[in-house]
Amino acid sequence: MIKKIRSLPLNKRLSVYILLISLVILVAIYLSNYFVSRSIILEGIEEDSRNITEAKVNMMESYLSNVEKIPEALSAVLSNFPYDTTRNSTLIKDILKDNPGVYGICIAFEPSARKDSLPYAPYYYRNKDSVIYTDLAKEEYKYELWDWYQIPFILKRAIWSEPYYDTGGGENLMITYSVPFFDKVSGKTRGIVTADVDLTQLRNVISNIKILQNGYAFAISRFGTFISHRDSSLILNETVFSLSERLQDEEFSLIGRKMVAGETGFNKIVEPVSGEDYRIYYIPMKSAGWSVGIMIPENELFSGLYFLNNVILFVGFTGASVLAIFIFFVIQRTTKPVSSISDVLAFVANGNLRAAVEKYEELNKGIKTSQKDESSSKDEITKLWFFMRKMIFDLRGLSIRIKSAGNYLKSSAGTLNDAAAFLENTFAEQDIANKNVRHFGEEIDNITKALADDTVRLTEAVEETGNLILQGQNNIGNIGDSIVEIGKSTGSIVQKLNNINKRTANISRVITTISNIADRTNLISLNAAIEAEKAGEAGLGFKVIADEIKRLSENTFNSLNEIGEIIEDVKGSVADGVETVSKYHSRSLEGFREIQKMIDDLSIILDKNKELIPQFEMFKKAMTVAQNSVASIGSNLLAVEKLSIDTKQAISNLLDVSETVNDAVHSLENEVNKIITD
Amino acid sequence: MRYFSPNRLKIFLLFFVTGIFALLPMQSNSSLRKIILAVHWQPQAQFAGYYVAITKGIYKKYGLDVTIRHTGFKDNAIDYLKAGGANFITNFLSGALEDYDHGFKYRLIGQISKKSALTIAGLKSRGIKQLNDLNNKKIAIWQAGFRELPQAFLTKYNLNSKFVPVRSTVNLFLMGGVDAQVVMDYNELNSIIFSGISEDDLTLFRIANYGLNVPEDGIYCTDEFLRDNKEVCKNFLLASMEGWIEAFRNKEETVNECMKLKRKAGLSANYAHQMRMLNTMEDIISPVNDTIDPVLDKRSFAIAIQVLKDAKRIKGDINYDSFFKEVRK
Repeated sequence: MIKKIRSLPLNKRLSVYILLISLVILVAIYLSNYFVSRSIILEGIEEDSRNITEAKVNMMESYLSNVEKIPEALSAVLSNFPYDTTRNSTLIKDILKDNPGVYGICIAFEPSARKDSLPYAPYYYRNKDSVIYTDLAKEEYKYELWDWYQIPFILKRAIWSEPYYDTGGGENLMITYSVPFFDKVSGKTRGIVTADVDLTQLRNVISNIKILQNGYAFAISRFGTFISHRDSSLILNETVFSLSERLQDEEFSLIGRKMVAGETGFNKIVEPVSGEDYRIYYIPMKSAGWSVGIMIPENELFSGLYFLNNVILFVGFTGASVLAIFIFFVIQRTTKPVSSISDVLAFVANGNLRAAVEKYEELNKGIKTSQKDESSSKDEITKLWFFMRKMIFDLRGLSIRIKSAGNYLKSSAGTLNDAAAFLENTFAEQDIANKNVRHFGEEIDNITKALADDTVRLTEAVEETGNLILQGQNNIGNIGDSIVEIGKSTGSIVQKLNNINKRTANISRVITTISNIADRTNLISLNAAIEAEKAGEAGLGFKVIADEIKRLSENTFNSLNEIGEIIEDVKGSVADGVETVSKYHSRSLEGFREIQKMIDDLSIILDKNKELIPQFEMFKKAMTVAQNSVASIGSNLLAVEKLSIDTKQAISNLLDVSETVNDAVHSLENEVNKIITD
Repeated sequence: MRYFSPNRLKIFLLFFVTGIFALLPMQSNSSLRKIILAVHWQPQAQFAGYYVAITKGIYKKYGLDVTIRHTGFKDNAIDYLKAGGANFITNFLSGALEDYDHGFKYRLIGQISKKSALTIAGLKSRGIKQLNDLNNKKIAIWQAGFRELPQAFLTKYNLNSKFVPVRSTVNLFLMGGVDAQVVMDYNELNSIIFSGISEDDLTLFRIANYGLNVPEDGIYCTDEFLRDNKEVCKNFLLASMEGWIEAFRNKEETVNECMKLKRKAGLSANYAHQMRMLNTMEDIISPVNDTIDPVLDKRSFAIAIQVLKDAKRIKGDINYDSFFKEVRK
């Protein structure tokens, strides 16, 4: 139930809750009114019942007590005076005349106490206006066995009989008050004197008790036999106990027991015949041992209360219904924007922003102009409505911006992709250049080594020349050969040095190429960094790569600069070498040409030869520097190669990232397209 | 077709219709044997089986048109039988044996009751809790009779109690004029209970449980009637027993019929009382599998003879076979 209510729309739910609470309050009012009024009514009716019943019972009691006095007086007379038929007859007739409430009077002698001259049981009873006499001592009547005689005789005390129909006697439905009279001398019971009361009269007193419309009174005897009841079929036929057994009404039987026991009480009861709810007030009528009960129908007793309650119910329900309708409309009006918001947001939640905007526009037409200015409204729901409007329009704007950014990102990603591809190609070129540099370096190395060998050999030759000169001038003829050899060697050195010069020029060219590549890499990395910045979070990885590339290109630059410097050094050294060798060559040629004429001046030559040796040492040093430089080129080339591998890796990463960016851009595009289908 | 010419068909139909009409009177009352049953008390559930046998057409089914005559304070069923005012009567076994001994040779054709309903009821609150408590106490009993069996009970248990004859009410007992009262389970006991005395407040001495089970109600007819109308006797007995079974089958309906008869007779009618009476009758008649055994138990017969002899109600022995006649064969 509560789940069901909870799943209702807000306006209905609020209406239901308010209605339920109203109903609870209504029920509380209804019940409190009912119970309070009811207890007031019950107290009142109990009081009324008591008053009415007590009045009637007192009336009957005094009536019966008047009747009781007659046999009591007669008993006193009979106990104290001898029986005089005539006198007694007159007396009894007079009594009957004066006491219309007495139906009959009997003086019944104990059969064994009979004296022949006396009647057994003279009985005077009414018949309309006359008094009839009969002697009850007849075979078919057997008065000594009737309760009215036998019970007081055996109990030796006065009693009221149970109601009975006096067949063969008074021929009437009656109760009898029987008083034993005694033999003054022996104290033995001589007989019973009685006064009968017509039960009809007493029943009339009871049945005339009226309370409300259908309330009634009834009386039961000391053994529960119905004496008076509005259902005449019960009278003398049923007892409260047989009736409760027939109706299987244990409650009625319990009340019957209390009544028979002479208690007074006020109880709820189911009316045994009609089965309706009644209240019973019962009170004993002590003289005859009866109990009189008053039955009050609850529906009448509480009819005023029921009417009042019906009015309360009617007013309450009508009020609650009006309230419910009112609340429903007020809430519906108030919460209409909420359901509209919910409708609009449903589209937003489904990503259909355009439909959300359309829905908003459609619903917004229904909103009053006065409500449209949120700044003037203190109503949260109206504010909510406009905040939502702001939200969906902002969202829409944002999504359009995202879309254009996405488009830009898409083209950037394309550029990046192209750049990466280009970089890849460039790298291939660089690789080839690197290989060339290595190759040239090796060649320079070889040449330098050969040059060094030649220089050693030249030095050896110079030293040998010196030695030869020093050893003697005998072998002067060989000097010419040596000089020719020197001339040849220096020629070779010059040639080789020129070759070095040529090769270094090549290296410079390659370095320029690498430098250009690094320049371009640097530029690309700069662009990549800018694009990565634009792509925001998606470009973060990409930016890292770009930065790395930038760093690598910068490193490459530095290495190239170093190489350039070294090359310049090499070039300088070679140039010095060439100059020196050329100088030596020309001088050796000049010496050769002059050998003939200067052969004599051997000591001068020897001196000059001695001057040459330190210059060769300088050359050897220059060669060593050149060799070291070449080695340095190799190691720098290795660094360049390592950097190239890193660059290759970075390019591969760049390609991956570019691909990821492409994918991201693609899905972003899809999402944005979903949001903005226009 | 020639055998069923219109003329022949007419003749055939004439015979057919005549035949039908000839059969009809067999079903009408005029062809039924008129029977009067005098029961030994006023209308009440004690005779419910006979009422139901009439209302349900069981007697008619057996070819009998039965009228019930109730007796009571002023008349006696046996007198009707003697005078020819009844074909069958119901009677107590003990009463019937006395009459038989006194020379009225009538026959028991069905011992319907199997158990004595005689009970001595005493109030626990007045000190009657066991057998000996009855000693030297006053016990109310019907002035009309049925005293032999309670007397035999007192004698058997050496109880020196005094019987106080009462007319018909239990008021003397209820008002403490006597200490106990002889009651019929199906009648006065209910009166006591319906006066607000619960059964738990009472000590009940059921005489049948003290070795003195002399069953009560049986169906009797004169020797001559039985001799001349064996088939009628048989049919009457079978129909009556069927009536009883039917009476127990639908008790509400049965009790309503009893109430109707009581009201018609101007008697006090009490539904609950009649229902209790019918239930007690079922216990007394004790049908087994919807069958009542109508044979007089020889042991019960012997006890009855002994009790009556002891009470000097009968002079000598009575022959079982001449008293009880099995008419079903």
